[in-house]
Amino acid sequence: MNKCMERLYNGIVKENPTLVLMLGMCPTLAVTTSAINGLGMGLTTTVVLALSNAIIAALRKIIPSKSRIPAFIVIIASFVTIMQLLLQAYIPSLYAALGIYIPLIVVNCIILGRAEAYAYKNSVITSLFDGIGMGLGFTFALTVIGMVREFIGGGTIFDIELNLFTPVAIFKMPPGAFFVLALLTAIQNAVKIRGEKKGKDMSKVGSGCDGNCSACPNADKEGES
Amino acid sequence: MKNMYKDILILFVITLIAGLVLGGVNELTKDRIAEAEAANREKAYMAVFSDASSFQEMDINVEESDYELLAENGYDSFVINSINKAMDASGNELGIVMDVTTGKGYGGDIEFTVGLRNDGTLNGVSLLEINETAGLGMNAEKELVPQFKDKKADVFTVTKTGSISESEIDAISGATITSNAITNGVNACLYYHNYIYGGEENE
Repeated sequence: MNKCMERLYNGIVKENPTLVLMLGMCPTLAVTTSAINGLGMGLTTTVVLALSNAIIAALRKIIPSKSRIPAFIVIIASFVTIMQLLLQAYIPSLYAALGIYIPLIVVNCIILGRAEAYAYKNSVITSLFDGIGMGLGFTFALTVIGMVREFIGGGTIFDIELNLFTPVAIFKMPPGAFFVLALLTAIQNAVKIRGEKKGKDMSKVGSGCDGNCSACPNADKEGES
Repeated sequence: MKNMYKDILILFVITLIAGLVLGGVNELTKDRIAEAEAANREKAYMAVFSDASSFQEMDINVEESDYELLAENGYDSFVINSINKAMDASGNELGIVMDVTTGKGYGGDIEFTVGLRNDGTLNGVSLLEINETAGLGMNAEKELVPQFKDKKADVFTVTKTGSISESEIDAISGATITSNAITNGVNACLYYHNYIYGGEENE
Protein backbone atom coordinates (compact mmCIF):
# COMPACT_ATOMS: atom_id res chain seq x y z
CA MET A 1 0.00 0.00 0.00
CA ASN A 2 1.59 3.24 -1.00
CA LYS A 3 1.34 6.43 0.98
CA CYS A 4 -1.61 7.94 -0.89
CA MET A 5 -3.76 4.80 -0.68
CA GLU A 6 -2.85 4.54 3.00
CA ARG A 7 -4.20 8.08 3.51
CA LEU A 8 -7.48 7.24 1.75
CA TYR A 9 -7.91 4.08 3.83
CA ASN A 10 -7.03 5.99 6.98
CA GLY A 11 -9.72 8.60 6.33
CA ILE A 12 -12.48 6.25 5.27
CA VAL A 13 -12.01 3.38 7.75
CA LYS A 14 -9.27 3.65 10.32
CA GLU A 15 -9.79 7.23 11.46
CA ASN A 16 -13.23 7.86 10.01
CA PRO A 17 -13.84 11.48 11.12
CA THR A 18 -17.44 10.87 12.13
CA LEU A 19 -17.58 7.32 13.49
CA VAL A 20 -14.10 7.10 15.03
CA LEU A 21 -12.72 10.60 15.64
CA MET A 22 -16.16 12.09 16.45
CA LEU A 23 -15.36 15.33 14.66
CA GLY A 24 -17.72 17.65 12.83
CA MET A 25 -20.74 16.57 14.86
CA CYS A 26 -22.77 19.72 14.17
CA PRO A 27 -23.29 19.23 10.43
CA THR A 28 -23.48 15.47 10.95
CA LEU A 29 -26.46 15.73 13.25
CA ALA A 30 -28.09 18.64 11.45
CA VAL A 31 -28.12 17.80 7.74
CA THR A 32 -28.57 14.02 7.78
CA THR A 33 -32.37 14.12 7.62
CA SER A 34 -32.16 12.56 4.17
CA ALA A 35 -29.54 10.54 2.30
CA ILE A 36 -29.21 13.06 -0.52
CA ASN A 37 -28.57 15.94 1.92
CA GLY A 38 -25.87 13.89 3.65
CA LEU A 39 -24.26 13.04 0.32
CA GLY A 40 -24.35 16.67 -0.91
CA MET A 41 -22.93 18.03 2.33
CA GLY A 42 -20.25 15.31 2.40
CA LEU A 43 -19.08 15.91 -1.16
CA THR A 44 -19.03 19.70 -0.74
CA THR A 45 -16.95 19.28 2.41
CA THR A 46 -14.65 16.82 0.60
CA VAL A 47 -13.82 19.37 -2.10
CA VAL A 48 -13.12 22.10 0.46
CA LEU A 49 -11.10 19.71 2.62
CA ALA A 50 -8.94 18.39 -0.23
CA LEU A 51 -8.21 21.84 -1.70
CA SER A 52 -7.53 23.58 1.61
CA ASN A 53 -5.30 20.68 2.72
CA ALA A 54 -3.29 20.95 -0.53
CA ILE A 55 -2.88 24.73 -0.32
CA ILE A 56 -1.96 24.65 3.37
CA ALA A 57 0.60 21.90 2.71
CA ALA A 58 2.05 23.95 -0.15
CA LEU A 59 2.35 27.02 2.07
CA ARG A 60 3.47 25.14 5.20
CA LYS A 61 6.99 26.53 5.06
CA ILE A 62 5.76 30.08 4.49
CA ILE A 63 2.93 30.29 7.04
CA PRO A 64 4.49 31.38 10.35
CA SER A 65 3.56 29.03 13.20
CA LYS A 66 2.47 31.91 15.44
CA SER A 67 -0.20 33.12 13.07
CA ARG A 68 -1.06 29.80 11.43
CA ILE A 69 -4.66 29.57 12.72
CA PRO A 70 -5.84 32.85 11.12
CA ALA A 71 -4.01 31.87 7.92
CA PHE A 72 -5.77 28.45 7.87
CA ILE A 73 -9.15 30.05 8.48
CA VAL A 74 -8.66 32.58 5.67
CA ILE A 75 -7.77 29.77 3.23
CA ILE A 76 -10.64 27.50 4.36
CA ALA A 77 -13.19 30.33 4.36
CA SER A 78 -12.13 31.36 0.85
CA PHE A 79 -12.67 27.84 -0.52
CA VAL A 80 -16.05 27.59 1.22
CA THR A 81 -17.14 30.91 -0.28
CA ILE A 82 -15.97 29.80 -3.74
CA MET A 83 -17.94 26.54 -3.36
CA GLN A 84 -20.97 28.49 -2.18
CA LEU A 85 -20.91 30.82 -5.19
CA LEU A 86 -20.38 27.91 -7.61
CA LEU A 87 -23.24 25.89 -6.10
CA GLN A 88 -25.52 28.92 -6.16
CA ALA A 89 -24.73 29.50 -9.82
CA TYR A 90 -24.69 25.95 -11.16
CA ILE A 91 -26.58 23.63 -8.75
CA PRO A 92 -29.16 25.96 -7.16
CA SER A 93 -31.30 23.03 -5.96
CA LEU A 94 -28.49 21.64 -3.79
CA TYR A 95 -27.67 25.17 -2.64
CA ALA A 96 -31.28 25.64 -1.55
CA ALA A 97 -31.39 22.27 0.22
CA LEU A 98 -28.19 22.81 2.22
CA GLY A 99 -28.93 26.46 3.01
CA ILE A 100 -27.12 27.74 6.09
CA TYR A 101 -24.91 24.64 6.39
CA ILE A 102 -22.67 25.62 3.47
CA PRO A 103 -21.18 28.70 5.16
CA LEU A 104 -20.93 26.62 8.33
CA ILE A 105 -18.41 24.30 6.63
CA VAL A 106 -15.87 27.00 7.57
CA VAL A 107 -16.18 26.06 11.23
CA ASN A 108 -16.31 22.31 10.62
CA CYS A 109 -13.56 21.10 12.94
CA ILE A 110 -12.56 18.26 10.59
CA ILE A 111 -11.12 20.81 8.16
CA LEU A 112 -9.19 22.88 10.69
CA GLY A 113 -8.29 19.63 12.48
CA ARG A 114 -6.70 18.08 9.37
CA ALA A 115 -4.91 21.35 8.55
CA GLU A 116 -3.38 21.33 12.04
CA ALA A 117 -2.75 17.61 12.46
CA TYR A 118 -1.68 16.67 8.97
CA ALA A 119 -1.42 19.21 6.17
CA TYR A 120 0.82 21.64 8.08
CA LYS A 121 3.45 18.90 8.53
CA ASN A 122 3.25 16.88 5.30
CA SER A 123 3.71 17.15 1.56
CA VAL A 124 1.15 18.49 -0.89
CA ILE A 125 0.26 15.17 -2.52
CA THR A 126 -0.23 13.16 0.67
CA SER A 127 -2.17 16.07 2.21
CA LEU A 128 -4.44 16.18 -0.82
CA PHE A 129 -5.14 12.45 -0.44
CA ASP A 130 -5.57 12.86 3.31
CA GLY A 131 -8.24 15.46 2.57
CA ILE A 132 -9.97 13.26 -0.01
CA GLY A 133 -9.86 10.25 2.33
CA MET A 134 -11.21 12.18 5.31
CA GLY A 135 -13.83 13.79 3.09
CA LEU A 136 -14.99 10.47 1.66
CA GLY A 137 -15.12 8.98 5.18
CA PHE A 138 -17.27 11.93 6.23
CA THR A 139 -19.44 11.56 3.11
CA PHE A 140 -19.85 7.82 3.71
CA ALA A 141 -20.88 8.29 7.35
CA LEU A 142 -23.28 11.13 6.54
CA THR A 143 -24.91 9.25 3.68
CA VAL A 144 -25.42 6.12 5.80
CA ILE A 145 -26.84 8.11 8.73
CA GLY A 146 -29.06 10.00 6.28
CA MET A 147 -30.25 6.75 4.68
CA VAL A 148 -31.18 5.16 8.01
CA ARG A 149 -32.94 8.30 9.24
CA GLU A 150 -34.78 8.82 5.97
CA PHE A 151 -35.82 5.15 5.84
CA ILE A 152 -37.13 4.91 9.41
CA GLY A 153 -38.31 8.51 9.69
CA GLY A 154 -39.89 9.00 6.29
CA GLY A 155 -40.20 5.57 4.68
CA THR A 156 -38.09 6.58 1.68
CA ILE A 157 -34.52 6.05 0.49
CA PHE A 158 -33.05 8.71 -1.81
CA ASP A 159 -36.61 10.05 -2.14
CA ILE A 160 -37.90 6.72 -3.52
CA GLU A 161 -41.19 5.83 -1.82
CA LEU A 162 -41.14 2.38 -0.23
CA ASN A 163 -44.29 2.49 1.94
CA LEU A 164 -43.29 -0.54 4.01
CA PHE A 165 -44.47 0.78 7.38
CA THR A 166 -45.70 3.88 9.15
CA PRO A 167 -42.71 6.23 9.40
CA VAL A 168 -41.35 6.98 12.88
CA ALA A 169 -41.10 10.76 12.60
CA ILE A 170 -38.72 11.19 15.56
CA PHE A 171 -35.90 9.79 13.41
CA LYS A 172 -36.14 12.88 11.22
CA MET A 173 -35.87 15.14 14.26
CA PRO A 174 -32.69 15.93 16.23
CA PRO A 175 -33.05 13.03 18.74
CA GLY A 176 -33.14 10.59 15.82
CA ALA A 177 -29.75 11.87 14.67
CA PHE A 178 -28.23 10.95 18.04
CA PHE A 179 -29.86 7.49 18.04
CA VAL A 180 -28.58 6.60 14.59
CA LEU A 181 -25.10 8.02 15.16
CA ALA A 182 -24.77 6.10 18.45
CA LEU A 183 -26.03 2.92 16.82
CA LEU A 184 -23.60 3.11 13.89
CA THR A 185 -20.66 3.87 16.19
CA ALA A 186 -21.63 0.91 18.39
CA ILE A 187 -21.84 -1.42 15.38
CA GLN A 188 -18.46 -0.20 14.15
CA ASN A 189 -16.89 -0.88 17.58
CA ALA A 190 -18.67 -4.24 17.97
CA VAL A 191 -17.29 -5.49 14.66
CA LYS A 192 -13.76 -4.55 15.62
CA ILE A 193 -13.97 -5.98 19.16
CA ARG A 194 -15.54 -9.24 17.99
CA GLY A 195 -12.80 -9.59 15.42
CA GLU A 196 -10.17 -9.19 18.11
CA LYS A 197 -11.80 -11.78 20.36
CA LYS A 198 -11.76 -14.33 17.60
CA GLY A 199 -8.05 -13.78 17.52
CA LYS A 200 -7.97 -12.20 14.11
CA ASP A 201 -5.35 -9.61 13.55
CA MET A 202 -7.48 -6.49 13.64
CA SER A 203 -4.55 -4.13 13.62
CA LYS A 204 -4.87 -4.15 9.86
CA VAL A 205 -8.44 -2.88 10.02
CA GLY A 206 -7.59 -0.78 13.02
CA SER A 207 -9.85 1.70 14.65
CA GLY A 208 -7.48 4.53 15.39
CA CYS A 209 -8.64 4.19 18.97
CA ASP A 210 -8.19 1.17 21.21
CA GLY A 211 -9.67 2.95 24.21
CA ASN A 212 -6.29 3.38 25.87
CA CYS A 213 -5.47 7.06 25.71
CA SER A 214 -2.10 6.95 27.45
CA ALA A 215 -0.73 4.43 24.98
CA CYS A 216 -2.15 6.23 21.96
CA PRO A 217 0.51 7.46 19.53
CA ASN A 218 -1.90 10.16 18.35
CA ALA A 219 -2.60 11.58 21.81
CA ASP A 220 0.66 13.45 22.08
CA LYS A 221 0.76 14.59 18.49
CA GLU A 222 -2.74 15.99 18.37
CA GLY A 223 -2.90 17.11 21.97
CA GLU A 224 0.04 19.40 21.59
CA SER A 225 -0.97 21.15 18.45
CA MET B 1 10.32 42.48 16.53
CA LYS B 2 11.53 41.84 13.01
CA ASN B 3 9.79 38.46 13.03
CA MET B 4 6.50 40.02 14.03
CA TYR B 5 6.52 42.32 11.00
CA LYS B 6 7.36 39.35 8.77
CA ASP B 7 4.42 37.36 10.22
CA ILE B 8 2.08 40.29 9.70
CA LEU B 9 3.26 40.72 6.12
CA ILE B 10 2.77 37.03 5.28
CA LEU B 11 -0.72 36.96 6.75
CA PHE B 12 -1.51 40.17 4.89
CA VAL B 13 -0.36 38.69 1.57
CA ILE B 14 -2.40 35.50 2.13
CA THR B 15 -5.49 37.57 2.91
CA LEU B 16 -4.89 39.81 -0.09
CA ILE B 17 -4.58 36.86 -2.49
CA ALA B 18 -7.68 35.23 -0.99
CA GLY B 19 -9.57 38.49 -1.43
CA LEU B 20 -8.52 38.81 -5.07
CA VAL B 21 -9.46 35.21 -5.86
CA LEU B 22 -12.86 35.67 -4.21
CA GLY B 23 -13.44 38.85 -6.16
CA GLY B 24 -12.65 37.00 -9.38
CA VAL B 25 -14.97 34.08 -8.62
CA ASN B 26 -17.72 36.50 -7.60
CA GLU B 27 -17.28 38.36 -10.90
CA LEU B 28 -17.49 35.08 -12.86
CA THR B 29 -20.60 33.74 -11.12
CA LYS B 30 -22.44 37.05 -10.55
CA ASP B 31 -24.41 37.09 -13.81
CA ARG B 32 -25.21 33.42 -13.62
CA ILE B 33 -26.56 33.77 -10.05
CA ALA B 34 -28.62 36.84 -10.98
CA GLU B 35 -30.03 34.91 -13.96
CA ALA B 36 -30.91 31.93 -11.78
CA GLU B 37 -32.59 34.23 -9.28
CA ALA B 38 -34.58 36.08 -11.93
CA ALA B 39 -35.72 32.79 -13.46
CA ASN B 40 -36.64 31.57 -9.99
CA ARG B 41 -38.70 34.71 -9.36
CA GLU B 42 -40.50 34.42 -12.67
CA LYS B 43 -41.21 30.77 -11.89
CA ALA B 44 -42.58 31.70 -8.46
CA TYR B 45 -44.90 34.27 -10.06
CA MET B 46 -46.07 31.75 -12.64
CA ALA B 47 -46.56 29.10 -9.95
CA VAL B 48 -49.13 31.24 -8.18
CA PHE B 49 -50.76 32.57 -11.35
CA SER B 50 -50.45 29.96 -14.08
CA ASP B 51 -53.11 31.54 -16.31
CA ALA B 52 -51.36 34.92 -16.41
CA SER B 53 -49.02 35.67 -19.29
CA SER B 54 -47.20 38.72 -17.98
CA PHE B 55 -46.49 40.51 -14.75
CA GLN B 56 -46.04 44.21 -14.17
CA GLU B 57 -44.71 45.71 -10.99
CA MET B 58 -47.23 48.11 -9.47
CA ASP B 59 -46.25 51.49 -8.13
CA ILE B 60 -47.54 51.04 -4.61
CA ASN B 61 -45.67 52.59 -1.74
CA VAL B 62 -46.28 50.69 1.44
CA GLU B 63 -46.36 53.39 4.10
CA GLU B 64 -44.97 53.09 7.61
CA SER B 65 -48.53 53.53 8.89
CA ASP B 66 -49.64 50.50 6.85
CA TYR B 67 -47.02 48.37 8.58
CA GLU B 68 -48.17 49.71 11.93
CA LEU B 69 -51.73 48.74 11.07
CA LEU B 70 -50.57 45.26 10.01
CA ALA B 71 -48.57 44.86 13.22
CA GLU B 72 -51.60 45.87 15.28
CA ASN B 73 -53.50 43.00 13.72
CA GLY B 74 -50.81 40.49 14.63
CA TYR B 75 -48.90 40.66 11.35
CA ASP B 76 -45.57 41.96 12.58
CA SER B 77 -42.10 41.13 11.12
CA PHE B 78 -43.75 41.24 7.72
CA VAL B 79 -42.34 43.08 4.71
CA ILE B 80 -43.89 43.57 1.28
CA ASN B 81 -41.10 43.46 -1.32
CA SER B 82 -43.21 44.14 -4.37
CA ILE B 83 -46.75 43.96 -5.67
CA ASN B 84 -47.19 42.88 -9.28
CA LYS B 85 -50.20 42.99 -11.54
CA ALA B 86 -50.93 39.64 -13.19
CA MET B 87 -52.33 40.10 -16.70
CA ASP B 88 -53.58 37.69 -19.34
CA ALA B 89 -52.53 37.81 -23.01
CA SER B 90 -55.00 40.59 -23.89
CA GLY B 91 -53.93 42.79 -21.01
CA ASN B 92 -56.83 42.18 -18.62
CA GLU B 93 -55.93 42.35 -14.96
CA LEU B 94 -56.53 38.99 -13.32
CA GLY B 95 -55.24 39.80 -9.87
CA ILE B 96 -52.03 40.55 -8.04
CA VAL B 97 -48.90 38.67 -7.05
CA MET B 98 -47.38 39.83 -3.77
CA ASP B 99 -43.73 39.13 -3.07
CA VAL B 100 -43.35 39.19 0.70
CA THR B 101 -40.93 38.27 3.49
CA THR B 102 -41.82 37.12 6.98
CA GLY B 103 -39.25 37.15 9.76
CA LYS B 104 -41.08 34.61 11.88
CA GLY B 105 -39.43 31.47 10.49
CA TYR B 106 -37.43 29.10 12.67
CA GLY B 107 -34.29 29.73 10.63
CA GLY B 108 -34.84 33.42 9.88
CA ASP B 109 -36.57 35.11 6.95
CA ILE B 110 -38.87 33.24 4.61
CA GLU B 111 -39.60 34.93 1.28
CA PHE B 112 -42.55 33.81 -0.78
CA THR B 113 -45.06 34.92 -3.37
CA VAL B 114 -48.82 34.94 -2.96
CA GLY B 115 -51.22 35.08 -5.91
CA LEU B 116 -54.59 36.73 -5.26
CA ARG B 117 -57.47 36.97 -7.72
CA ASN B 118 -59.53 40.15 -7.96
CA ASP B 119 -62.28 38.64 -5.83
CA GLY B 120 -59.84 37.79 -3.05
CA THR B 121 -59.49 34.07 -3.85
CA LEU B 122 -56.06 32.77 -2.91
CA ASN B 123 -54.61 31.33 -6.07
CA GLY B 124 -51.50 29.82 -4.55
CA VAL B 125 -48.30 30.31 -2.59
CA SER B 126 -44.75 29.69 -3.76
CA LEU B 127 -41.59 29.80 -1.66
CA LEU B 128 -38.63 31.82 -2.90
CA GLU B 129 -36.16 31.70 -0.05
CA ILE B 130 -36.36 29.50 2.99
CA ASN B 131 -33.68 28.42 5.46
CA GLU B 132 -35.61 26.13 7.77
CA THR B 133 -34.40 22.83 9.21
CA ALA B 134 -33.73 20.28 6.46
CA GLY B 135 -36.31 17.49 6.52
CA LEU B 136 -38.71 19.39 8.81
CA GLY B 137 -39.43 23.04 8.04
CA MET B 138 -37.92 22.52 4.58
CA ASN B 139 -40.87 20.23 3.83
CA ALA B 140 -43.04 23.36 3.62
CA GLU B 141 -42.72 23.27 -0.17
CA LYS B 142 -44.35 19.86 -0.52
CA GLU B 143 -46.56 19.74 2.59
CA LEU B 144 -47.73 23.27 3.27
CA VAL B 145 -47.76 25.03 -0.09
CA PRO B 146 -50.33 22.74 -1.84
CA GLN B 147 -52.82 23.42 0.97
CA PHE B 148 -53.10 27.10 -0.01
CA LYS B 149 -54.09 26.39 -3.59
CA ASP B 150 -57.41 27.85 -4.80
CA LYS B 151 -58.91 28.70 -1.46
CA LYS B 152 -61.12 31.50 -0.30
CA ALA B 153 -60.96 32.55 3.32
CA ASP B 154 -60.44 35.74 5.29
CA VAL B 155 -58.04 34.18 7.77
CA PHE B 156 -56.27 30.83 7.71
CA THR B 157 -55.61 28.98 10.94
CA VAL B 158 -53.04 26.26 11.59
CA THR B 159 -54.34 23.03 13.08
CA LYS B 160 -52.58 19.94 14.36
CA THR B 161 -55.66 17.73 14.49
CA GLY B 162 -56.45 17.47 10.80
CA SER B 163 -57.99 20.15 8.64
CA ILE B 164 -61.79 19.98 8.45
CA SER B 165 -62.65 23.26 6.74
CA GLU B 166 -61.33 25.33 3.86
CA SER B 167 -59.65 27.84 6.16
CA GLU B 168 -57.74 25.29 8.22
CA ILE B 169 -54.17 24.40 7.32
CA ASP B 170 -52.50 21.20 8.58
CA ALA B 171 -49.25 22.00 10.38
CA ILE B 172 -46.10 20.25 9.16
CA SER B 173 -45.30 17.64 11.78
CA GLY B 174 -42.28 18.80 13.79
CA ALA B 175 -42.28 22.26 12.24
CA THR B 176 -45.09 24.22 13.85
CA ILE B 177 -43.11 27.47 13.82
CA THR B 178 -42.56 27.25 10.07
CA SER B 179 -46.24 26.44 9.48
CA ASN B 180 -47.33 29.37 11.65
CA ALA B 181 -44.86 31.77 10.00
CA ILE B 182 -46.03 31.04 6.45
CA THR B 183 -49.72 31.01 7.39
CA ASN B 184 -49.30 34.31 9.25
CA GLY B 185 -47.62 35.81 6.16
CA VAL B 186 -50.42 34.60 3.89
CA ASN B 187 -53.00 36.08 6.27
CA ALA B 188 -51.13 39.39 6.23
CA CYS B 189 -51.34 39.39 2.41
CA LEU B 190 -55.08 38.72 2.54
CA TYR B 191 -55.50 41.49 5.09
CA TYR B 192 -53.48 43.95 3.01
CA HIS B 193 -55.31 43.02 -0.20
CA ASN B 194 -58.60 43.60 1.55
CA TYR B 195 -57.26 46.89 2.91
CA ILE B 196 -56.19 48.38 -0.43
CA TYR B 197 -59.09 47.00 -2.45
CA GLY B 198 -61.53 47.79 0.34
CA GLY B 199 -63.66 44.67 -0.01
CA GLU B 200 -65.22 45.93 -3.24
CA GLU B 201 -66.59 42.53 -4.06
CA ASN B 202 -69.15 42.98 -1.28
CA GLU B 203 -70.65 46.15 -2.70
